[in-house]
Amino acid sequence: MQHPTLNDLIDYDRRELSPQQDALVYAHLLECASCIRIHERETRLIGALRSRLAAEERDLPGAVSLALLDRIAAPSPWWHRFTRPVVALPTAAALIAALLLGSGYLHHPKSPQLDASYFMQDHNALTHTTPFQSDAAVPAELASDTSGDAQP
Amino acid sequence: MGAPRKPLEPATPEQRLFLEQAIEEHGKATYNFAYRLTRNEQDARDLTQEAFIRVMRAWRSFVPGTSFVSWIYRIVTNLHRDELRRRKGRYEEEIPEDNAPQEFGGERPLAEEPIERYVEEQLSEPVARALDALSPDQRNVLILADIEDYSYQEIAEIVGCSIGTVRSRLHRARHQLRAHVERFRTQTESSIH
Repeated sequence: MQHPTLNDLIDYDRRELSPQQDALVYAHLLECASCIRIHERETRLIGALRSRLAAEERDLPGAVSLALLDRIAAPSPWWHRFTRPVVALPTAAALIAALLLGSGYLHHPKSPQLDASYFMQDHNALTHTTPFQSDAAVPAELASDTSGDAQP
Repeated sequence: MGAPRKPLEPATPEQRLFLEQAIEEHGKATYNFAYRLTRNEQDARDLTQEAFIRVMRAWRSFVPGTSFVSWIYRIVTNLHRDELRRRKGRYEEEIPEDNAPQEFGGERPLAEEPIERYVEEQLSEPVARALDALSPDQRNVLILADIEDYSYQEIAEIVGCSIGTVRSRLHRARHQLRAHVERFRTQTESSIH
């Protein structure tokens, strides 16, 4: 037999030759030192490939399984989204702020208000041409003091 | 890969159970197969995830007693091919198939080829780089044949091509692998000296 080709040897190793071809290659390899060396070289190459890939082998990352199961999970009720910290914390802060503002907690206390008549009387007193005449208008606040010891 | 995840219909309890069992029994093998194809951890994760989603959707079409692994490997192979098409715009299918000329002299008599001695440990790094350098189709067939030990017939079913195509792809893959290993070994040795 002529030397088998390298492709023949690949198919031979993989048991993909016809029985007749397989027998011929087998017989040839028993007696041809150069073909044996090439065959061994090819075997070593694939051995190195297998070893390398075996060393690279790894477990399925847990994140992949979790992501898969998460993708097929039934959707949560709408209110579940508010239980997530990223949503729950700002929502709680906004609610507290709204309550405080609504209750007036942050408002300054109001100043006592003056009645409008005070300003009218004050204006009259100040603009009167003869403020000390007997018939001059007396502001209500002052009038209350005239009944007592203010009399001449 | 890395595209945003499409929202899925919630799984039925049967689908969920099927998926959980499939991940438990075949998750590792599928992930490693995907990693060997892509040579990239993130792509392997995405590919594995998508493959199991497809499995879950089509779980009723799985025939008990047939090989689940072959089925999911076929899905991974198709997804990988689709992804390459998406990335390249147009997937460059390997031209040299059954009738293509062999540029590595694969049909030359063996005795004419230079014979060199390989030491397995020394080959580890060049082999890994050589595997990276193969085309996706060649790498796929090489892994299915030489790592997963599938027959040409089984590979043809997984990959979706003829046995002749599988044979020629494997031959070319082996030739390429050997040539790349030689090249990388030479580079390594010359950089050491």
